[in-house]
Amino acid sequence: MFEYIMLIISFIGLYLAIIWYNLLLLGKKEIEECKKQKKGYYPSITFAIPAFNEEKTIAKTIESILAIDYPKNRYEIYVIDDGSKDNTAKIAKTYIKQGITVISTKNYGKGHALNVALKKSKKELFACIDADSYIEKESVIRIVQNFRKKGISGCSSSILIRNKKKIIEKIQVFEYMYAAIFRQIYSFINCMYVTPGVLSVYRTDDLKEEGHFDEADNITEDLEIALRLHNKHKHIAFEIRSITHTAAPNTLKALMRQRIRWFRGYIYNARKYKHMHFNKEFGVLGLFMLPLNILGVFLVFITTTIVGDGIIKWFKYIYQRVIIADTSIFDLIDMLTMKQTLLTINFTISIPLIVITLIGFYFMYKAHKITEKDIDLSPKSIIAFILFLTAYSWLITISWIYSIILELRKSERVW
Amino acid sequence: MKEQYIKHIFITSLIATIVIFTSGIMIGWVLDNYRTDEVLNIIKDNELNSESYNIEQIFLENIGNVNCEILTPRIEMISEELGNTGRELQRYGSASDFKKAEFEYLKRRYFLMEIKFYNLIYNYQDSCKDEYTPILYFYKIDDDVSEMQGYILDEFIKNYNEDTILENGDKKHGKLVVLSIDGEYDEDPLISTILNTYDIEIDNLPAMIINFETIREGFVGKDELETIFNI
Repeated sequence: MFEYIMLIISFIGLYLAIIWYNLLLLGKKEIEECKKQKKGYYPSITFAIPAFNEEKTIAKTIESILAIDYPKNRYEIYVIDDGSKDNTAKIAKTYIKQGITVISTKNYGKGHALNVALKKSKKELFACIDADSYIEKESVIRIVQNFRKKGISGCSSSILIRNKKKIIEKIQVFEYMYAAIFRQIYSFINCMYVTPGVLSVYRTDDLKEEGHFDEADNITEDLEIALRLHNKHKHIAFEIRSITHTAAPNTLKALMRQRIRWFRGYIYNARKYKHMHFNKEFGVLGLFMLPLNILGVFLVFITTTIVGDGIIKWFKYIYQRVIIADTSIFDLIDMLTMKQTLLTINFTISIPLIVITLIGFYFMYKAHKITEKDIDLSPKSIIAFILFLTAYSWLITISWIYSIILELRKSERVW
Repeated sequence: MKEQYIKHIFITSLIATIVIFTSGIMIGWVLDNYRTDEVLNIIKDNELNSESYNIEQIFLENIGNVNCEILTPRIEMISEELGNTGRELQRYGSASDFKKAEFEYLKRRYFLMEIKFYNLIYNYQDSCKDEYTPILYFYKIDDDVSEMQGYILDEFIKNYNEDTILENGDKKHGKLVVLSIDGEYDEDPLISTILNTYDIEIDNLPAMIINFETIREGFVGKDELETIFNI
């Protein structure tokens, strides 16, 4: 039974890896074209920064927008203080002279804060930026070029981690790098099912037409708006070369909390838009991407269980031999000849695994290359990468299980 | 147009996956054949060596000139070969995908060879007093206690046998040889015959028969083994 599960998992894993690889090759031309794109398109933009207790970062976020490579008369900035109890509003108000508008509201949530700015906006584009994120000078100019195409309703930027000292932060660096390259592919096949709040730009009229951001009990309004736009057959793009730096959770507890919010938000919105799943009307998104997200959860569960079982067996073996049987640790190393090693390998499983791993490494290399970032080869980073490949799926699995339990129990959704 | 490309990618990727996956299966199948051949050849060599030893022993007995100095190195060699065969059988058997039945057959031949060796030691002990102490160890597959017992026996024998030779070249005690047999193996009636002869219940496995007499059922710790062997 176990062997058959392994075979099925490795087949599905290999198939998906090859699909992504081929899609990346197909999308390569599009990325190259994107690099050559002229910059002479400057649509007017409203930047909305919803902020709740962000006194430590709000100044730098505003400054990063003020420093962008974009004509000053083509944009406006709104800071919506969502009932902060700290000095967020006070700090934001120090930038009023530079043309910033600060609006204070009660704490109704991010969706409401964005809608306050959206209602006031008369610009062509509406950009949402998290109050703890900093954008690069060319991020906006690069992202807006996507709106030259008429069918595009929204576009998101690549998110990179700015705090990279701790192992837990470095692990997320790799995760976000993979997310960037995968989102570029999603964009290519019109499957960008989320427009992360870190920096996403929308056509203002489309947002107003679709009824603004969801304020009711939605903890992932960025996922909801993307699915709503897709539901109306509008397209969402991704600009890998537009880079935004955000703060990653730096403790295990904070990371779990963030993931549980995302996953609960995903379950909520997947149910809200369940009619899009397996629906031919929504093309690759309906027939492949959305069902794959659900299958992905099961694949993570099963893979984690298999890997976990292997690790437990290995520890049990070490415990039985070293602690119980008193075997020297050096005697555990089985010195095999080349022939013995070759005959011990299970090629049926190993060959797909090797191909998947190579494609995985290639994606990591490619993500660094496209975003023009250097690969960090420090020992800490290498440890983080190994942990990302091995132990991280456990955290994701636990977060998923916990999220499903909370949703089944209908627990209150909190930010 | 793009939809067509994407559809094309899904199909070509499926073909590529099938090709890579099939090549893995093919390599696995070829290696499985090689694995069974490899173990079979080792077993044949072992059987031949055992047979040769047996004939030699009978010959020496017939002419009334049993020479332990000739027999001891031979039996030591067979014992070592048997250990290696067991390890190869276990190693390659667990890596096998397609030749499970063949490995079951090889396992049977291996168990029979072990019991044959057990008999050889019995006869050998008649002529060459206490040179060897065999432990016939019956285990259960996928059983934690059996696994642990196996590791304890491995370690115990390694330390015990290193301790056999005294500084003056004399032997302190007979060398230990463990012959491990799957106690639940029901393809060959011989195994259940042995278990019945010694009144060992399958439910009580792991169990061991030490030096043809002492029976221990259930888990035997390192301390208990030291007591049994007066260490």
